[in-house]
Amino acid sequence: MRKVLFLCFLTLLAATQLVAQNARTVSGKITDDKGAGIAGVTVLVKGTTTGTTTDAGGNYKLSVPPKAQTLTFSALNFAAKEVNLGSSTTINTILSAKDDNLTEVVVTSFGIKRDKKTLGYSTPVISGEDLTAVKNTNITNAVVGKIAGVRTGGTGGSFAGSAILIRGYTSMTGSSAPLFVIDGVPIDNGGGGVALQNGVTNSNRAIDINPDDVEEMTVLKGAAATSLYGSRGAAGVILITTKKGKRKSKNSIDFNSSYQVVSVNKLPEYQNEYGQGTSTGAATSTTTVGIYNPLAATSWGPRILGQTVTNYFGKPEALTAYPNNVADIFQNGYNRQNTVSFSGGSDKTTYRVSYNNTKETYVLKANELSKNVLSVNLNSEVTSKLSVSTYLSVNNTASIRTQQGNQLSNPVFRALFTPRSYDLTNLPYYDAQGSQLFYGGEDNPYWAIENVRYNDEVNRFLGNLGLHYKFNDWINADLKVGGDVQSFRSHGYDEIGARGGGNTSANGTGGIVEARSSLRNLNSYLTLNAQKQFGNFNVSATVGNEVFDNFSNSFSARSTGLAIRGFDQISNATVLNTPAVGTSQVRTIGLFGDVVVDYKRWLTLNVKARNDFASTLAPGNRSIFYPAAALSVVMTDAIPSLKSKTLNLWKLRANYGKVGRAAPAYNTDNYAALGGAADGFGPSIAYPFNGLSGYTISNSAGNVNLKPEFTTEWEIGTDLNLFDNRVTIQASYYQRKLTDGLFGVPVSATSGVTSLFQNAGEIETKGTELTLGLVPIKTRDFNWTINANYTQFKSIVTKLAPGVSVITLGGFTTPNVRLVEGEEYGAIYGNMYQRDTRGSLILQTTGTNAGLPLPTSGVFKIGNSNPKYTIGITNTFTYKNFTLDLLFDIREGGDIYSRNLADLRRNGAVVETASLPRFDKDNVTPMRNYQFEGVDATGVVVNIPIRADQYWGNSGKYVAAEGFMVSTSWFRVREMNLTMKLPKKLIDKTPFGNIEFGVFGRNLYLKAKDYPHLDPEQNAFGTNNISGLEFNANPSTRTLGVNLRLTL
Amino acid sequence: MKKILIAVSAITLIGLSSCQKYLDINTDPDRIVETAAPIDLLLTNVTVNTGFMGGSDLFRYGALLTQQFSGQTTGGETQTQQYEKYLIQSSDVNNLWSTFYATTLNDIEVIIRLANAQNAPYYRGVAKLLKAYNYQHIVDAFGNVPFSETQLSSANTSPKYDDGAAIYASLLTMIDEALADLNSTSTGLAPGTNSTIYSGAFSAKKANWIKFGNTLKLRLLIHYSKVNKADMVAKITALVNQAGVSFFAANADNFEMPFFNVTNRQNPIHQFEINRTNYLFPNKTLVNTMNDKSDPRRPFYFTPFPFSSTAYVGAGAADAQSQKYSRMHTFLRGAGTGGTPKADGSLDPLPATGGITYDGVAPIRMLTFAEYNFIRAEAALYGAPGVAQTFFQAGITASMQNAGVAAADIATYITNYGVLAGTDDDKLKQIITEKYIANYGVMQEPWSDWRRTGYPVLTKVVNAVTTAIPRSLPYPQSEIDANKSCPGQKADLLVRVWWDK
Repeated sequence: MRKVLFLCFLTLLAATQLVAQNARTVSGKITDDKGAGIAGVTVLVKGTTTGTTTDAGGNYKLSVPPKAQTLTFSALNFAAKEVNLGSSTTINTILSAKDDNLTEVVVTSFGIKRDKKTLGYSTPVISGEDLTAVKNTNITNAVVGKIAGVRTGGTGGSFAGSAILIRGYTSMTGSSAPLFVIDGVPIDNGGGGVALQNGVTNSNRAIDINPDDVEEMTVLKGAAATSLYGSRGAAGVILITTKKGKRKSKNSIDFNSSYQVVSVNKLPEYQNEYGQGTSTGAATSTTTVGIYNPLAATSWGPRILGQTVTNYFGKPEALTAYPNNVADIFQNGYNRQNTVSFSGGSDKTTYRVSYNNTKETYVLKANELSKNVLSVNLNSEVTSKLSVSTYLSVNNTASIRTQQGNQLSNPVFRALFTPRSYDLTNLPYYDAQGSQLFYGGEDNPYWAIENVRYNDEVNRFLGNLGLHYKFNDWINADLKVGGDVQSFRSHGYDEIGARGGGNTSANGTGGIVEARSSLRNLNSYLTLNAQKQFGNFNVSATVGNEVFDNFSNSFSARSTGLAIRGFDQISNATVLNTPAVGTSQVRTIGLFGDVVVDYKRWLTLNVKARNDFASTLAPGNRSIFYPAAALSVVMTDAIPSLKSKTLNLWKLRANYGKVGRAAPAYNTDNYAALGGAADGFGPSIAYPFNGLSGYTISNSAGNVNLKPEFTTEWEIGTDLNLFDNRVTIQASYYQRKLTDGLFGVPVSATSGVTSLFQNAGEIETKGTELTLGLVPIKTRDFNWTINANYTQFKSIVTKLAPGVSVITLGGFTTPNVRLVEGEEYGAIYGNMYQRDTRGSLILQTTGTNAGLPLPTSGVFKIGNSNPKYTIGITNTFTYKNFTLDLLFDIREGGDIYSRNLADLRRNGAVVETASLPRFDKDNVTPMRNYQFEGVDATGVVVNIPIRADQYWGNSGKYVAAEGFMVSTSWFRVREMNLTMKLPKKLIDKTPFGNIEFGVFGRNLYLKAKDYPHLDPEQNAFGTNNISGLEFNANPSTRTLGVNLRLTL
Repeated sequence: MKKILIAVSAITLIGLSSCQKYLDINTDPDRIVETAAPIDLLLTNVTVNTGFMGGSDLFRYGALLTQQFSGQTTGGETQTQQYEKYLIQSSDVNNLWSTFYATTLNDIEVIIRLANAQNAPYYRGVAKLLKAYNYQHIVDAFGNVPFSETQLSSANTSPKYDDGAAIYASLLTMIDEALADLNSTSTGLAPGTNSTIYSGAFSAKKANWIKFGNTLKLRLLIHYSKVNKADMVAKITALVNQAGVSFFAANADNFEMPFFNVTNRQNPIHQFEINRTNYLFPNKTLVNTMNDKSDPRRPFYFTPFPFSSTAYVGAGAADAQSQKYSRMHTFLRGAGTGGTPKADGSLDPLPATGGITYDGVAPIRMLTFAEYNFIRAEAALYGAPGVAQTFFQAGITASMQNAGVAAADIATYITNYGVLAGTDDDKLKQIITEKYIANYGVMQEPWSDWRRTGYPVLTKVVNAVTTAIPRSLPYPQSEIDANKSCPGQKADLLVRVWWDK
């Protein structure tokens, strides 16, 4: 590979003409169109930072380097200008007043380019540079904090994705994730689910994309913007435009390399005063006080004084604290990314070929992701009328992972609260036969990392072919055909003796699971576009159709009862289960039209409509029609007198849109399927059972009468540019409503089924989004710009099915996440402390738990995972060749049920559990220096002092789910990036056209005032629509890296 | 331009005409449409779920409430500890309820429908017996529950709640209908080895199903003891005097489901012990009751503690976190080998760290010959035919034989403790206490007996969150949320089922 690169360099070097010239001085005067000199004009040698500014009379003098060809002149309120240098030494030029009507083009649906100024909805764009300045393996993480109206939620753990939620929830129980579209063709972004009780967390499949291939990313938010994308766009669309070669450009090679160190973002602050031992026991008991117990998972034991104890291995040891026994489980990981791309173009044909190799490890061993992406863009004008474009990408993503979630094989299931006196780092964890040695009921973290293994691999082909035909100068046609083909395989291995569910729930007998799946999504679009000017009216229109066929098939075989320890081969299994298979196929045919009429570019009306025919509805209900309209008025053009130095642009916009969505596959019939038995505690019966198979009628009933569901939205907004465009404001308010929401409505199990698929629910979202651009400082050398975005929305469940008041989205007996009529989407429910009518805690007055609260037996609303608002602020400082970006991420509100935090405390592991002495000076008598405030059943105040272990214990603070709830409000420095471009002077001495060097980091600072010890950005349900629960999550990471970019 | 438009329209029209066919793909290739479901495979799943439930949620509630087991932990508070202190919440019973109603009973209903259509009375008879057995447990656990309007799918998603007493009456009729079906002559389809309970050729197993039907009737009738003793005695008298009636006559007749020494085919009580290590230990109430009489079943019921001794130690609610107790043993978990105790004499739950390796093939016992004898002993005490003492001793003998106790030890025990003495209430106490020991591992029945008779005498646990020992389970949260006809949550767990008033 190196040799090839070297050869490429040589070839290019040979092709580059090096002509020696001497530096010279150029001078001149810059005037406006009335002949007056303009002061403060920035004069730059194009492509460099060499330059000067004009004096009060508009005069300048500048020494230009030998290779300089062009000068650029720019000033506030004047249109920038470039002048070819030639061989002259005097250049005078006239700058004309800036026309705010300069067209800024944005891509909307199907690659249709629209003048941004005439759009009736906002279309935020993130440039490729902004996406990749801080290197992310997964492009979804790069969106975090950058766009108003978009809320992201990290999942924690290794190579995690981010759930993207645009303008609230658009589905009752299904996914509200946006559609990803590459160069006009939708792609799959499945995966990202978390196995709560079994297995590993997977990445969402956008991870397969090479972020360096992205030219820009446009976010279509509202229904009026997305309606042409059909049902799949109901939750918003993320349009990715790939980088392409530029016409008439020389061949260039771009090499981009980065290396990051990945570390645990935050580790708990432990107490190191008290050793392994159980809770002090009954209030009356003195026999169990602070006694060392080598079998205990808790740190409620004696004060650590070096006393001799008999450890778990039956050996005497001096009781010692091991402050790093948890930290030692973690390592520093790394993330290494290299992209090389070749691009160029003649006047007819352009090309870009890129190859990316990424390797990332995690803070826990046995987690590794490696990715290879080869992509090719070719565009050619075949004739003056016909052009062809292709994008092809071949991806290979492989990973190995450890277990996650609420199970004993998750290496950090209980390890985060390892007893403070247990030398986890050095004590043996298996015997000579490989059997596990550990005091706990769970797997030893080191043993689990080595012995409960998982790996997977995805091979993916993404591609599309586009034909563009120009009938004449105002009418053209596009045909686009795209495919996304994936094959996935995974392999899980649980060693004999694994205590947790692991990959296979083998009950300690060892097991292997092999899974294979394939996915094939095909899309085809044919559009006919016309554009014509009629006097002051400009009309453009598109009609088209879409056909898509999405097919997926999966197969998984789980085998248990391994015969030979350590032999990782499915033939080693003695118990074979009936394999699980799954198929899904969905087809849709859509017809659509889009007409835009604008009057003098200040009044624009856009009307769209689409009709889908979906395979997942019964023939009579298949047709789904939905319209949209958008209106925009540029007030400063409509009434020119409004325009001033203070008010540069004022635009008003309003839109209305509707998007219809059909049901998921196979919900129009009732089925019988392979049965089994299980109770949620682990025991289960699988088939074949003694050679028998068993079938059961599915608990979810289908419904032949399903109709489409609709999301209807209206939005108003305004755009303002103020103070010579140094302040820009975009504000929107919207309301959207899901009606006839399709979902499996839970019904009484006594009916024989537990859910009935139907059109039932309604969700109403109201939201405000604000984008603010500020240029506080703008000088020749130093610029400071601020881009801030504010996102606030609230999705209220306004209607559930008749007779249904609650739908549980997921979770446990307590807590769980629910839809409740009249409440915000995804309320967290659990049991609370018992309180009297005045709200005082009711405390027990007798028995072992005197002084402690009681839990309610029913469940109540204990939290809301949705933040009140989120704010992202990007500060960009540029000084000469240096650019510093700082992205602040602010989240206000949003509750989470944190099991990790509770575990750290109820097991006596963290510092606050030892902030007050647990024993008196004799180190035996327990101290009672805690107290709950409350009353007895008759309302009399209870004054019963209690011990630390009681206060923090399962009968104390953590007796009810309410005690586990914490606010996730945070302020964090999400991204930092310092880039230096090598000065032209230095570059000129090299064969390179550009050299950039950067230092960057992610998650560099976190302040979460209510959430100590750990990073609150966690979700036990991955990129699912459920959030607010954390169950023994793996830590979030912080990265710090360097980046080098060379362009030849 | 016109040409293009015509061409595009033509293509679109051709496209639309073949469109319907292109979109007719919404049938899942991986499942069978309900109307084509096979009756034999449905019955397999019904018996598997019936047997599994016998060692699952409802078994654990009953066993913890009656202090046969104690919830323990080595880490955070476990669900078994919560249940033991009577913290059983409405969402805890969601799974239990839906397994009964939406899996077992729904599949039974489809079997009955298919049996009617396919003229298969033996399938119908077996299905009705299983239906009666499952409903008995639902009524005993919850009280008034949906019965008459259930399993109608979308036609009725809010079935009404029926009175428990009325349901009991219907169940007795249902068993009679089932017995009539089983006694009929049919050449239609019959269950065979596809039933995991009484598996085998139907010609050979028919008698077992009939004995089960009659014995189940006895169990239902004895539950009337508190509310209508006279009627119960009359009905039992009529039943036992009925010509040709047959009841369980040996342990071989036990209504139980066998399991296999294969992962995920093992007894669920055993599986729980592996999956939830240290969640359940034998309770000192049961262990001490048996210690007091040097019960020879102990070596089969429990592991000794210390392991090298012949002593048995039970755990209790709110006891200090420890593993220094006896554990459940071969009677519930199947044959075991190995076992190396730790320094403190306790045994690890997992074979890999010194625990015993069990094969997990012990059956889940749901209605035994021993229970039959205790029912007859109690009924005889009230005046039904037979001699109470004879049945009492037969019950103890059946239980001990089932556990594997040597004949000599049985004889010694019968001599010492097999004689009914004192008042009728003293005798009842003896019968129910022995039944309580015999029904170790039997779902819910010890709890029902305690609710009916007050025996064995149980003391509320020290860390109770209710003011007394619970007398029924809360309605499931899923039911309160989804069934308009649900009367709402009970005031507390002390609400009594109809036969406990």
